[in-house]
Amino acid sequence: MTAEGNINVAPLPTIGFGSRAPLWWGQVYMMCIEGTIFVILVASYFFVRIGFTHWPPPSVIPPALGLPTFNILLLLASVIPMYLAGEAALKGERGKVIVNMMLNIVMALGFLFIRLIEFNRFSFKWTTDIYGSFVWIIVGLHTMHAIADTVQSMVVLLIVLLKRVDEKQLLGIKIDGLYWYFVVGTWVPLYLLVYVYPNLQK
Amino acid sequence: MTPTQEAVERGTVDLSALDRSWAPPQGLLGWFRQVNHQNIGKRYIVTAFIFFILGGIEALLMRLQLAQPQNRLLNPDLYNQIFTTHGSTMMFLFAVPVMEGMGVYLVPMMVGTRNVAFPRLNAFGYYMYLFGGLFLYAGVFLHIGPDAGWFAYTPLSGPLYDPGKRTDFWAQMITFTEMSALVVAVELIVTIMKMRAPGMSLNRIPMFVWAMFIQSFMVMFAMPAVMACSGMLLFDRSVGTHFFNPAEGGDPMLWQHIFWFFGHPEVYIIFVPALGMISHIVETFSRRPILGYTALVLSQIATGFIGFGLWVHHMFATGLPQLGESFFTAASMMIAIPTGVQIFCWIATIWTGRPTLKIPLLYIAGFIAIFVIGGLSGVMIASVPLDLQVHDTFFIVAHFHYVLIGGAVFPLLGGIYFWFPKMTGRMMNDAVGTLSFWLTFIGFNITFFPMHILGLHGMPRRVYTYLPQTGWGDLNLLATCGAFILAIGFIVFVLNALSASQNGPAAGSNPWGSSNIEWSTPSPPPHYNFANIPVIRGREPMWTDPEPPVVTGLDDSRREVLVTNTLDAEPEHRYILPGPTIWPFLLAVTTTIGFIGTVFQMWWGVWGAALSFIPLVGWFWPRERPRPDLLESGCGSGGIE
Repeated sequence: MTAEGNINVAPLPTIGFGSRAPLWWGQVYMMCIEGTIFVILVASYFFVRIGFTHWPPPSVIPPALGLPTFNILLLLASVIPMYLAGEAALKGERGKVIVNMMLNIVMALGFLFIRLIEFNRFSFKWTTDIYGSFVWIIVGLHTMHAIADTVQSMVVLLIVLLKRVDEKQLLGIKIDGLYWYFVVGTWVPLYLLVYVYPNLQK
Repeated sequence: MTPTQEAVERGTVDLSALDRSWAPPQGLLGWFRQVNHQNIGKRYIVTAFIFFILGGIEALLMRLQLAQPQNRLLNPDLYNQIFTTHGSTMMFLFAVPVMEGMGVYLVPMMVGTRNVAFPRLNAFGYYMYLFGGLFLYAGVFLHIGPDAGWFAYTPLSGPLYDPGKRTDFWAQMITFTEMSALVVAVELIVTIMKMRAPGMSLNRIPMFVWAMFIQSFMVMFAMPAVMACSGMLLFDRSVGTHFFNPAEGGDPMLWQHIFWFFGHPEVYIIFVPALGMISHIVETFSRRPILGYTALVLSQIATGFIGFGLWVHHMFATGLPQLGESFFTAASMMIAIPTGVQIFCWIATIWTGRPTLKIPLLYIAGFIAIFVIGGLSGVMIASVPLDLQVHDTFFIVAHFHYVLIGGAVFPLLGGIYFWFPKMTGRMMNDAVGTLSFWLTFIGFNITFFPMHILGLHGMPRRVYTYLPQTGWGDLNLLATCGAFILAIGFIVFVLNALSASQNGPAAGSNPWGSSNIEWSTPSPPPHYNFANIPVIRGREPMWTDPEPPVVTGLDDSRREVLVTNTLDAEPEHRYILPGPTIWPFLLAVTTTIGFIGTVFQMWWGVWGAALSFIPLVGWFWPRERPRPDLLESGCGSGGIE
């Protein structure tokens, strides 16, 4: 065993943030996987759409724009408290983490409630025709992601409330935020596809 | 126990502390709490081989049925179930998982770390794979095995033509196994990016690690496609959506496009890890560094990209626009270029080295012979006119068995023979190994070569029998005889492995005189892989740098590993990996309840998700005692970043 050239890593920290953290990369790749599923769905949507002269099919009334537009603004706004919670976590400001996480969860729940109304206002079911099938699967899958991350945020908040924040939980808050950005980010093109695009076709 | 300053600098470690930190959990319950990559990797490999045997039995049953015209061994319905299960088993339950298993076992050791980046996710992936396979076979034994082919073309697999639950079992098995493949892909990519030993810069990464890296990226972008389309098929069948229903504006061709967008990369997902194994075997037994390392890596990356641009060549007979067909013909021929570059690199390595024809190299020689034939028939059917002639005939069956068995199973058997001493600490028997190789090689060619001729004579695939007047009987009988020789070859291999694992001669740490660092640690390796993480100073460290400097200062009293940066593998920070835990198993159980439930009633998806909430919280709930000092020292000043 040569002592020369040995690398002593004892002075290094026991955690890294951002792209230094394996967990961060894991989350990024999970987002790639889920993003690919959305891309496949969108590609399939257009693949089927090519076969139609009128889209959506004339028998279907596309959903109105008002409520979904308000809802996407709410969703976009919810990014701000999530971001602030992440920043506060890095500085170790527990109070600010709690307030901002709560604000984010309230906005997310509001978004999900309005989403429920959106579903109820669709004039078609997934069984109506292929257009209905696609709208329901795309919006449904996105809603599943939004519910999952809202629940995850609640668990993270619970951990922060019950336990002293240690470094792994700080990382957890950042990762949770990253996933929320993904939920919000994917909705922008999907919103354009589901709500704006069919209304432009008329 | 804190090591003394002197011990830290000299690199001496407290082995008993390492042993305690990384010890696997004991007992029956311990089996379900296991998170060490060596154990999980071995489980993948053993489970995959059990499914391989099941798939092989199905193949023999089909061959028996086809041995003579108008045979009555299997009725058409049973035959349909058996060929569908055979294909699905070999693709989803054997070929991909066994390669993932080799990756899970070897990659952390080859990059010089102690476990994969996400050990609990790794365990979860294994259970999902196991439950998915058991679920499919539960269907088979209950006589509700899938019967629409391993690619389940709509509308045949749709609700109109395939009532009952058969295709639902198949589609849900896909969800299970792809979930498992996806989590392995993510954890291997992150392990390779962030946990390589210091000094293992990109140009020093072992070839098999490169292969798993490329394969994992392919998994990441291909598998979501099949999850999406099998999900859409399930919805069509159970809740009345219309994705593949032309009556309501859907399109059966959509299924073929999405399925083959996954299905073609799938072939390379199986094949690329085999390429990595070949490079190590060729290098070791040629006694010289691999020739054209950069060309090999770049060719594999090119294969990874081009593999996504070939899917339409499975669909030439569906009446697509001619321009599209020409494009995919060109792409299909283009993939021969990177493959050719690799074959020439290996041949040149053997040529310019001092080759010793040990059994693993024998398997590689068999690979080259068989794979080149499969590649040649591949270039033939990449051309549309020829493909239209032989589409859906035994010519295609011959082609893809030549590329899949030749391209993946032969290197895999060579690879297992090669790494077996590392995994078990014992050597397999060479005489028996030679016997099993020749039985396999000869049996394979007797089975599948006649199928080329049968296909050119027009014998269609997926028929349970044929008329005596066709004159196909003799060649079919020959193929059946070959299949039994092939099966005996595999059995001899398995028996050799089983007996060697008990009584084989001890291997020592580096029995083949190989070049990479997994051979520096004892065989079988300790649970922590390396007593000291080595510092890498070359591409063939065991040959050029047998006594490297080491990493010191990792805390051995817990599961601590080193995280390095992606390009140059410079140390960034230490990282504590989780220990044994039951939650991944419980999460797999609740997910399984949800998945199986949705086959019968969609609301089970909701119940399954609700049930999974409990193990998920258990999984993420912090176990370590909080460290209040952090808020003052590290994070308070932003010092961590």
